[in-house]
Amino acid sequence: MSTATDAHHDEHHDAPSGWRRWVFATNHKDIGTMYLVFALTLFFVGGAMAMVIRAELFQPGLQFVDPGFFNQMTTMHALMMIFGAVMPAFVGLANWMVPLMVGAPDMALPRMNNWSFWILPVAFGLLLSTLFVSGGAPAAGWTMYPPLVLQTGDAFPFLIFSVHLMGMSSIMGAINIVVTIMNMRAPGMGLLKMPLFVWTWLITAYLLILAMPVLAGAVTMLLTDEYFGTSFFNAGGGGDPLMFQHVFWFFGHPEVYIMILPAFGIVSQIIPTFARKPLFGYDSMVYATASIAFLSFIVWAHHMFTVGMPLAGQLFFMFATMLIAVPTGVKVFNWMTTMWRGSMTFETPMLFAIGFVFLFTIGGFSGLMLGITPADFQYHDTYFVVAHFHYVLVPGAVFAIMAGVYYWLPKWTGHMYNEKLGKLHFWLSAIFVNVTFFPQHFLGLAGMPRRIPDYATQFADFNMVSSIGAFVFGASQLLFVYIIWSCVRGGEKASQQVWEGAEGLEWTVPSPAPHHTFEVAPEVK
Amino acid sequence: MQVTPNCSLSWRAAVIFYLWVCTASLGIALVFVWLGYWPVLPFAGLEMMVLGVALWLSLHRGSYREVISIFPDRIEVARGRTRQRECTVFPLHWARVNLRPTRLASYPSRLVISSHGRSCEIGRCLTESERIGLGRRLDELIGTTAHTPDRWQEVAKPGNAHR
Repeated sequence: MSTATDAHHDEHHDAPSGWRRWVFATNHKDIGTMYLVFALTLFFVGGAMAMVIRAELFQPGLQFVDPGFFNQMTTMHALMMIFGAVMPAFVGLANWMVPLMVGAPDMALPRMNNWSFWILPVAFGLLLSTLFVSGGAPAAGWTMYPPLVLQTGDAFPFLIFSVHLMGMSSIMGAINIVVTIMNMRAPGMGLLKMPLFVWTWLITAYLLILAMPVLAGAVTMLLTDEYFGTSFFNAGGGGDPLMFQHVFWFFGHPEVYIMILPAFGIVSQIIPTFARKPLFGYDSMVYATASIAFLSFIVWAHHMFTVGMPLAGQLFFMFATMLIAVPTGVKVFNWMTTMWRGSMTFETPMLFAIGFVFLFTIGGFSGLMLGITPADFQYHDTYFVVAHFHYVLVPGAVFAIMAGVYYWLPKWTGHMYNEKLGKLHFWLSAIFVNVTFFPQHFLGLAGMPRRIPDYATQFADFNMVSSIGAFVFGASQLLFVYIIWSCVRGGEKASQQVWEGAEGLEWTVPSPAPHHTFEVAPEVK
Repeated sequence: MQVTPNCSLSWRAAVIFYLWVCTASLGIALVFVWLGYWPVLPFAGLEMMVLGVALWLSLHRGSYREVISIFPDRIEVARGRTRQRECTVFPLHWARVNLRPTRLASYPSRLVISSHGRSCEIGRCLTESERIGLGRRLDELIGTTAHTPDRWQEVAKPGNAHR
């Protein structure tokens, strides 16, 4: 007798209740929920820091904070949003949905899953505590370039240790996801039958596994340079500070794709559902994702065109960067073709998904502009770069996360969310994200540098518009919290299928999904 | 009768996958070592070790087997992973098969063979419906429930008392 489930649910036969349920959680749904709540919390913490930045930039001159604190805010905002909000949100979605989508009763290693999560609050507790230590929080940017970062006060070892902890959490999460996808798929679910979200997470986890040791090594070398007398990046001792940039971006560029590939997966689940058509070009979507992942490892130096690279190097990295537009274009084309002549409806998840496709494409095009070496010399370290990566990460990654939350919320809670409020949340977000970031393109093209608390008066108007956009965008996210909260508390009962056009194993289980999901083994034909 | 959990990866495929990931990860680390940035290597090595352990654990759990053999005078339950670790023998005519319901609706039931104060749980890696099917089949073969054909459906409901 061969069966379709594994023995892993004996891990939590005696599942505790109350606070013990969460502290000792081994169930993938509980851990997924904790990841999502944590990510939302840090989204607001990082968002509050963004509000400090935009308040200071509302007018020329120094109004609210000193330049040192401004730099601490930019650094902490980035670290909070990247490692505390976007990545944990995707891991939370993976925890919730990957076992459901592959027909597994839980993640492969439930106890390691618990560890992966609980390391995160410790890491961010440490990092946030640096706001109160002598010398203040890290202020050298999230890229931690030496020798500037070595001038950090007492916060420096806290920064390195917290980055190590974040990396450990990510690696353990990635390994769990890889093993779950590889070994716990339901009978009949071949690799090319997996939902796109699962595929994108498999590739993302692979990227994490390859990239994270490089970051760990880089920050360890910073630590030994500071405290143990080594000279990896110390020119005075024969080291090369520029090499830190190479090592960092060898991790940092794949990291960008770690934050966007799962978003591709979410959108690839949502668009076919609301277009009521199968995803156009499934296989090409998988291959495009894999190609993007591969290319992400050979383009790191496009972040460093201005450091004095040989011409051949500049050309290689320019062409390799532009090559990424090809598989990305395949994906955008496939999403558009899926929608073409579909029976489309525009519920909130679909609105966010379409918003993602449209606005992420703007971020992609500005990325192409930055990828052209001679043009990059003009844009480098200006607000154009800020506009570019915020278009990729906010209406890109964050919108996809919101789309995913609205899409699966009824499955998680058993209740429908308030559709009217959801749509209002979308329109406020979509309008004001553009009000915030679109003027920053013009600021950058006109020459306003990034990471400065004060600026010349000719940049005043666009900065004011950008700040107003940021305040309204930030405030509208409170609506998101209210919608989720009221949906968790009650509302119209959700059916098993929830969305008419949805397909996949997650829609074959009741809403809310039971604590132990696949007691009856699913079969994939 | 053999009971095995589901496992979508074979050992061979797992080894190939692991070697592929190791080649890529350690290859990158070795390039950095060659450039003089050796601290990348221990992290990559540690990570590959964790991945290896995780894969091994998952596959090891998947290699669990229960072989239930019924002879004219006895039932033998042999269990183990790569080879038989434990064998429990029950006299056929005294053995009883019971499906013990759970305290909570969402938790799996327990299928137990018992006799003379000894018991042995089987089919923990099965789904609920498969466990009921296995219990019913064993019951037929042992012959204890010839008079109560519906008891498996009854017992399977959570909260029902153990019979």
